[in-house]
Amino acid sequence: MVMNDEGQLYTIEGITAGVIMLVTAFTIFNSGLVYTPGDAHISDMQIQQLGYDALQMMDTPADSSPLYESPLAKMIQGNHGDQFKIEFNDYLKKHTGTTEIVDSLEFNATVFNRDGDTPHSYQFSNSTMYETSQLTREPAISVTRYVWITGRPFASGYDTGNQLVLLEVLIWRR
Amino acid sequence: METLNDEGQWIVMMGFLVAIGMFMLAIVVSQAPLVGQTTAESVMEFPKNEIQDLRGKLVSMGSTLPEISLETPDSDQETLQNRFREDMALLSMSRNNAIANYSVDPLYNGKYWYDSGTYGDVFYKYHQIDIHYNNGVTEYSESLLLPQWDPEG
Amino acid sequence: MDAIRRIKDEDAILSIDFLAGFTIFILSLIMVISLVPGVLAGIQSDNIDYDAVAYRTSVILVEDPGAPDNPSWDLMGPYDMEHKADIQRLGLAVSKDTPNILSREKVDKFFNNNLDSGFTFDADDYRDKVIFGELTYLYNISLRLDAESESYYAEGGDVVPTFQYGYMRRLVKVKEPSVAEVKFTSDYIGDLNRTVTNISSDFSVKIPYDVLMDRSVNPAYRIDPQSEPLKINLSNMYSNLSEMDIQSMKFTGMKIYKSLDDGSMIDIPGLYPFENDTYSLTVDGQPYSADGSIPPKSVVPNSTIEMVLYPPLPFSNEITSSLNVNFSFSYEFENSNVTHQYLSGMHQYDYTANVKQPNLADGVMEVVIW
Repeated sequence: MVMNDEGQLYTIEGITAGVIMLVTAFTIFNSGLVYTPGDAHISDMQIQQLGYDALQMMDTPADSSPLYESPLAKMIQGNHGDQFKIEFNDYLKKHTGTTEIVDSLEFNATVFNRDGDTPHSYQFSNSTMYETSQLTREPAISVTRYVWITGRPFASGYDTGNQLVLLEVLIWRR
Repeated sequence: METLNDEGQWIVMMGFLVAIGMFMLAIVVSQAPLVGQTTAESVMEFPKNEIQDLRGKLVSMGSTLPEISLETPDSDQETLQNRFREDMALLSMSRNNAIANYSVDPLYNGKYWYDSGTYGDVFYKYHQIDIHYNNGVTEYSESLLLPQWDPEG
Repeated sequence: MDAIRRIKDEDAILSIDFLAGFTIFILSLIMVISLVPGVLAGIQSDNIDYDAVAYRTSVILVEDPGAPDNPSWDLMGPYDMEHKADIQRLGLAVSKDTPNILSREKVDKFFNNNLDSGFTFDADDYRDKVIFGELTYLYNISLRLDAESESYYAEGGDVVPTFQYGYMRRLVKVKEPSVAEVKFTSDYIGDLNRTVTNISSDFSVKIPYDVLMDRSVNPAYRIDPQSEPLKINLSNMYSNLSEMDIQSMKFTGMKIYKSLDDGSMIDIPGLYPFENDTYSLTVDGQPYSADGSIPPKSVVPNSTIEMVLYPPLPFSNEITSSLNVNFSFSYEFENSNVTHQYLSGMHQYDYTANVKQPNLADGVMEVVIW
C-alpha cells in the first residue's frame, strides 16, 4: 500500500508557487538590478554650469571696453594666477542665502595656446588645497573658455600679437 | 502510486503569473534610472556653453575688429581672422574634441573679411559670420549678421 | 473518484490541505509584494525631475530675453494687467546674444520690486511662464547683487526643504541703466552784457536716438531708450558761474522737444504733471511739476535736479529722431560792473564720457524647485 498523499496535494503546489515567486523576486531585486543613484550626475551638471558661468563673468568687462580688456584677459596676459584664484573662488561660493553652500570646490587652471600647429600649455592657477585634495577627490569636471589677449601669454617663446588662448579649469569637490 | 491529482495546479499557475509580473515590473523599473541619468548627462553632453562662448566671442570681437586694425596697423582684420580661426580650430580639437570653425563674409580671392561687408543698408554694413561646430554628437551651424555702423551706406 | 468526495462528512469542512497550500501561497505573495514598493521607493525619479526643472527654469531666467521680446514684456505698465496672459516666458536676459546679462528693468518687474507700479506677478504666473510643467511645483527663486545687502525673492516662494529638491545656482550680471551726470564746465556758460540784469535761458540735454540705438554696440552695453530709463542729473550748477553777482537763480520749468526731419524742434505737449509714465522730475529730492503750476524753485549752489525718463522714451521708435530736454532757468543779477554768467548750451547723451555708461553689476541667482 502506498502512503496516502492525497491530503498534500495543495500544500505541495502552494510551496512550489511560493518558491517560484520568492526566487524570482530575490533574483530580480537583490542581485540583478544595480542602479546608480539618480543624482550621481546632477551635482556634476551644477558644477559644470557654475564653472562656465564664473569664467564668463570674469571674461565680461564691467563697462563697454573691448573684450581683450576683460579682467580674465588681463590676468592671463599679466600671469596673475593668484588674482584668478581669489576671484574664481569668490564666484564659486557666491550665494543668495537661500540655501547652505558647502564651500569645498577645488580647481586647477591651465592655459593652452597655439604655436604653429602644436598646442602649448602651462599651469596658470590652482586652489589652495589643490595638492592635498588630490588623494580623496571626486572626479573632476572640465570647463573651458576662449580668452582674447593682445600679446603673448606669460611663457616666452610663444607667438606674440593678438591671439585666442583656451583656459581650461578642472573643478572637483574635495 | 496513484495517478497524481492535478487539481491544485492553478496555484502554481498563479505563482508563475506573479513571477512574470515581477519580471515585467523589473524591466520597467530598470529603465527609470537611465532616464534620470540622461537628463543630467545630456545637459552636460550638449556643448551649450562652448557654443555660446564661441558665438559671444565672435559677436563682441566682430564689432571691435575695425578699431583693432586702427590700433595695430600691421595686423589687419584678415590676419586677425586667420589667427583667431586657427587658434580656435586647433585648441577646440585638442581640448574639447570638437571641430570649431567660422568665417567672416564668404570667401573671395582667398580673403574672408570684406571691408564693405556682405550686405548693407542705409545705416549699417553687415558682416556675415558663419559658425560651425561639431563634436561628433552635436552639430551646430549658424549664420549671423553682424552690423557695423556705417551711416554713409 | 475525487479525493474530496470520498470524505463522507464533508459539509462545512475546508480541506486542511487546501488551506495549508493556499496559506503558503498567500504568505509568499505578501512577502514578494512587500519587496516591490521598497524597490520602487529607491529609484523614485522625483529628485532627478526636480533638478531638470530647476535647470530649465534657470536657463529661461538667465539666458532668455523672454517672450514677447520686441517690444519687451517688461514695458507693460499698470494698465496692462489684463494683458498679462500675453507674456509667454519671463526671461530676464538683455538679449538672446547676451546670456547671463540681465536687464535691470526686467529684474525689477520679475521680483515685484516696484510694488506701487501696480503690475505684479504671483505664484501662478511664475508657474505658467518660467517653471512650466504639468505639476504644481513649489519654488524659491532668489537673486542677490553684490552691491546690495538684501536678496530679491520671487513672490509666493516657500522655505526650501532640507532635502529632495532640484537646485541650480547661476552667476549673472545685472545691467544698470546709464546716467548723464552733467558737470557744468566752462563749455556750458553763457556771457551776458553787464548792463542787462536779468535773463531767462535754457540748458538742454540732447538724446540722439540714432547714436544710442547703434546696433553695432554690444547689447550688454547699449543704451536703449526703448527699454531702459535714461537719467539726467544736474548738480554743482554754480561751479563755473561767477556766483558773486547772482541775486537769484530759479528753475522755472522743463520741456521736451522732438526734432523734425528739417532740423526744427517741436514741443511735446501733455507731459506736464511731474510724475507720469514718461518721466519724473525732482528738485532737491522734491517732486517738481514741469508746467509751472508750482512756483519757480530757487537754485542754490548745492541744488540738484534729477530727471528720469521712463522707457519707452517718446518717439524712440523713430531711430533717426532725437529728443531735447530743456531745463529753463531765470536769473537776476546785481547791477555790477562785471560780465554776468548763466548756464547755457547743450549736453549730448551718448557713448562718450558725457554719460556714465551702463554698468554690469555682479550677482548670483538661486533657483530651487520641489
